[in-house]
Order: sequence, then C-alpha cells, then structure tokens
Amino acid sequence: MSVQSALALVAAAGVIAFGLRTSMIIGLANVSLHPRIERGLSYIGPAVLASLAMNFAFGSAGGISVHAPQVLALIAGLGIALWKRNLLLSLAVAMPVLWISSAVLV
Amino acid sequence: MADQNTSPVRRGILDTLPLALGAIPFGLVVGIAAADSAMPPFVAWLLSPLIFAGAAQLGLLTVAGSATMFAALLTLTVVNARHVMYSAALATEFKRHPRWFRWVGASLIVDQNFALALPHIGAEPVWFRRYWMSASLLMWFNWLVTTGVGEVVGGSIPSSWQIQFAIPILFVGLTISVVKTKPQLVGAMVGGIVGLACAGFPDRLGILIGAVAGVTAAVAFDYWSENAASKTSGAPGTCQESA
Repeated sequence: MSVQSALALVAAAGVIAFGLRTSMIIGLANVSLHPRIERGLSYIGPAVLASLAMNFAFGSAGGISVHAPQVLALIAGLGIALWKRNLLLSLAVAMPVLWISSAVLV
Repeated sequence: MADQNTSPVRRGILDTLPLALGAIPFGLVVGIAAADSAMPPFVAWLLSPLIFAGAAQLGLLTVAGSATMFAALLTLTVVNARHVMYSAALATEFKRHPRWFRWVGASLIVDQNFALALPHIGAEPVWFRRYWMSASLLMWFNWLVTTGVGEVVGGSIPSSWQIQFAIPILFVGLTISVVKTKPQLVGAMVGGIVGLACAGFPDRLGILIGAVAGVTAAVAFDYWSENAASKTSGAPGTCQESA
C-alpha cells in the first residue's frame, strides 16, 4: 500500500469517525426534544454499557467464550458494585477472584 | 450527581486510571496489528490520534491493502455506529456547553469516557467540561502511547494476568451506577442478555445489536407502564419509578 493511498484512507476514516461522534450532539444542539424522546435517550447508556460488558467479557474472535473464572469475577464485581457502589473496590475484589479461580479451576 | 467539592481534573484522572490501565493490552494488540498491516508504519499509527477507536482500528488495519477503500470505510462505519448512540445520549447535556466543547469534546467520545460521564450528567457545566476533558485526554494520550509501544516492541504484559478483563468488570460497575429507573433496568438487562448472545459476532457488532435491543425494550416497557398507570389512575402517568 502506497503512502498516498494509506494517508487518503486514514484521512477519510478520520472524517467518518469524527462525523459519527459529533452527528447527534451538533445536530440536536438547537433542537427542543419531546420529553418522551429525552427519556428514551436516557435508556441508551445502561443498554450500551451492559451490552459492552457482556461483549468484552465473553466475546472472542468468531465465538462466545464463557469460562467459570470470568463468570465468578464478574459476579464478584457486580456484587461489590451493588453493595458499595465503588468502582475501584469492585475491581480490587473481582481481579483477585479471577486470578485465584483461574489458578484453582483451570 | 457530581461531588463538586472535588477537583474535576483530579476526579476525572482518578476515575479514568483503571479504565486506561485496562485498555493497555488492547492498545498493544492494536499496535502489533499496525506493525503487521499493509500500511506504512507511521501512517498506521496515525489512526490512533485520528480515529481513537480500538475495534475500528483493528478492522481497518486488517482489511487495508486487501479490500477497496469503500469496504474499509464501511467496516469503520459499522464498528463505530455505536458512537452515534453515545452522541445522541450526550446531546442534551452538551447543549448546555459552548460551541467549542460540542465539537472538541464530542470528537473524543469513546466507550470509557461515555460510561464515566453518564453519572455526572446535569453537573455544573464548568465542572463537567473539566471532568470530561481530563478523562478524555488521559484516555487519548494513553491510547497514543500504548499503540505506539505495541507497534515498536510488541506485547510484553503476560497474558496470564488477564488485565483486559478489568474492562468488563468496570463496565458492569458503571452500568450499576447509571441504572436509576425501572425502564433503565429493563434496558440494561435486555442489552446485556442480547449483547452476550451476540458476543461472537465479528467486529464487535454484538455491542450495537445488544444496545439497540436494550433501548427498544426500555422504550417498550416505558410505554407499557405509562399506559398501565394511566388506565389505573384514569390520567396520564409516569414510569419514572426508582429501580
């Protein structure tokens, strides 16, 4: 691939990535939304985050990969998040659960 | 709501650190893919500051040189389509901010800062801007460095540490922190289940499918519970009960 064609691809990709990110923020900047639509937009966050969590936890190239240590670590993280509402504590508990259960179960 | 007694820059950096650390293995992988791609090395690295999106970069680096430019750009568009949803979800908050921030701040949207910002929507505008920019710039700088290092020296963190698993753990915690109403709970549950069912789809398409399914379910639940409430009381009701 030549430098010119690679640069053209990178530049076009940069414009598209920028457009996707700014589209709604700029497009809706001067628009008053119906309260029902505003409420609907508040559902995007939880839905996307839960989907991201499951995808990053169990998605792998070409398939789903579910193993007990990962499941246990996620349950531990979820439990601490529900109980203490503290992200760092959730991580501090869940990662050792992952390492210990990986050492014991795998 | 944000604790506005805390410095937004300090808070943004502290909140972002675990997510930035979790992104390091992914950055190294993307860097290695850049070194192996058909693109000249420096041009391949330029994807990091300009696109700043791991899965999309991996997709582009994989097809570059073997697919048409149209196919490569279509790959990028599909993989990053969820950024349109993030943009829509943040649109109401960003309306309260100056024009420069709508352009610059929006251009830095990624999964991590979107997740971190949600609990702070409605915070004092200057606080929110400083929080957003410190979190976003730390993620961006971290991405430039780790992809660059990956391109030069390759992966060096033992895979047995499974550091990348910090990302889903943090996303689970962040999901809990943003669920405040019953429709949001329904959206998170359906989004998670569908996201899991579609986790094997290529280019992380399952994220988008799960998100669309979750939002659809939340809207349907909202509509249904509003109708049920209005039938019970004889007047239009609301579904904004606490979850």
